Amino acid sequence: MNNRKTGKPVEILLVEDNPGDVRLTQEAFKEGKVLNKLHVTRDGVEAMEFLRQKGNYAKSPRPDIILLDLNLPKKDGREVLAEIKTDKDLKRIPVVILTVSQAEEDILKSYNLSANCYIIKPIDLEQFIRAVKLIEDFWLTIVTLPPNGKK
Amino acid sequence: MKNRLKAKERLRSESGKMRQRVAEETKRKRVGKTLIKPEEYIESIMQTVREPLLALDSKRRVISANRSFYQTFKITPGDIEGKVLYDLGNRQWDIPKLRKLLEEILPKSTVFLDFEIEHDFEDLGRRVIVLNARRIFHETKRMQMILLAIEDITERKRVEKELKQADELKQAVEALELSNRDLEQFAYVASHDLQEPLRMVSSFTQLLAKRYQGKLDKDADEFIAYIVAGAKRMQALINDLLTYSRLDTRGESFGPIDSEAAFNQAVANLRVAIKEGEAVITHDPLPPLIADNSQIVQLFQNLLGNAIKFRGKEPPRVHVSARQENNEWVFSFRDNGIGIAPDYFDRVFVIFQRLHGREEYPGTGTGLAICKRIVERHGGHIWVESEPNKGSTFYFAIPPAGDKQL
Repeated sequence: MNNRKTGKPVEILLVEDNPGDVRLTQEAFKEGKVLNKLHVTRDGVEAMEFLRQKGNYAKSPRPDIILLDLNLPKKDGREVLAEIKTDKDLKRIPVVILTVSQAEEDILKSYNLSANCYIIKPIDLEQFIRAVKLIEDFWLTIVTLPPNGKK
Repeated sequence: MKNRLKAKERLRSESGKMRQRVAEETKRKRVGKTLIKPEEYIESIMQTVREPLLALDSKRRVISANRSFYQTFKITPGDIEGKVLYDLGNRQWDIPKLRKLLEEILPKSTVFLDFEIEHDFEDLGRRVIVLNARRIFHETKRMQMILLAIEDITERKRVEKELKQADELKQAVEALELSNRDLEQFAYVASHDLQEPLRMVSSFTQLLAKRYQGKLDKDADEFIAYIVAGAKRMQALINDLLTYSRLDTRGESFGPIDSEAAFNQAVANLRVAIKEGEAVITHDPLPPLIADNSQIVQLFQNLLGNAIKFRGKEPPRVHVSARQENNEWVFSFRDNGIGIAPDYFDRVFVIFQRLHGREEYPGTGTGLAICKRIVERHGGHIWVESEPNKGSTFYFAIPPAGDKQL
């Protein structure tokens, strides 16, 4: 189901605790060409509630793609990734790791846990915006995503 | 019940046999043994013991000495018997503490043990000796005698001291290594964690500049420009600090490398600067090394980069060569640049030290500090010879196999 055909906005879940990064990501997506809706959760516990539609997130949509930071309060990104990728309903959702960590062990661990790709947040603003636009371009227009819904 | 009685009986009979055997054995031994007189008994013990021993009479005259005493204190047998201890060998045994022990303490207590003294002997130099003495009564001769044992522990003391010093040195080295690691860890963590808030400052000022440049007043544009420039500079500093702090902890292991290939890699990395500066870089054959390849590339790159950056009016010319000297490879990077005054020869290798304004020559002042650390990690040293306006030559010397084994 390509959302461009249906005209429905693409649902993006951003799991990020730094409000500055949230805002920068929002700014970058504003400049994008794909109609999208960016949902934000600030820690790993909230992220899992969102994905499992629990608590305050009972009516949340199923995201088409997840942008996941690794260092998060309460439940960190590695745990969130492991939970998503071992859940038979959630594991098809592409997870893009978006983090400042350049540590080899984080990169290896993320891919071992079946992250779909790993991106180190560029320090420079222009490059950051470019990276987010490329994520959008690749994952939301070039890639064919799995059909939405539980299968 | 019956069994128990039997066992008891057997036990009694066995122990009876045993007693008989012991008695027979004892008898046999007594018969086989030669009877000796007490003085012979003392003498045979004295000659057997490895420690120097003296037997003195009540007037401190030497009755006899053992072989070990003669050997240790280099005295000939005939020289001493019958003489007073204190008069031996040019009175070198007239030691106040020994005198006190023999004259005052021994008469009262019949024995003294493990008394350590230091004394300068005429022939042997300064020795540390341990004295043990006992007053005995010789029954046959009906006289008082003194047995004096003199152990020379100078050598043992010296070894103990050396071991202690080696141990202290080892502990100091360990403490230093620990504090070094802590510092590196601190520099790494600090520079890593500083990046996060800095990224925020720099990103949002850039965003501010992007959106509002020219829409506020002239002052606002200027202020924003300063904030952006400051944040960018801080980013560069933190990045370099991070690189610097990672040199030891994140360095790769040493392996055989071709320093000519490392040199070519460095030149390739600098191709833009070389082209823009119209620099000419030449080199003599460079030797193979046992080293961390990526760090050697970085070292070459920093030195070549500096030679191009700190250029004079003429296009930069850099010549690199290596020669073997005192079992080390001495590399030299000779340029025709602006040169350095002798006052700054050491300072240029200190992190964040710069000799020029930033408008003149950009940079954070970490390049040569990184070079120094890389060379030191390879067990070598780095220095510069230069004259203002006449160019500089940077040298570094490293052992062919680094200081570390593969």
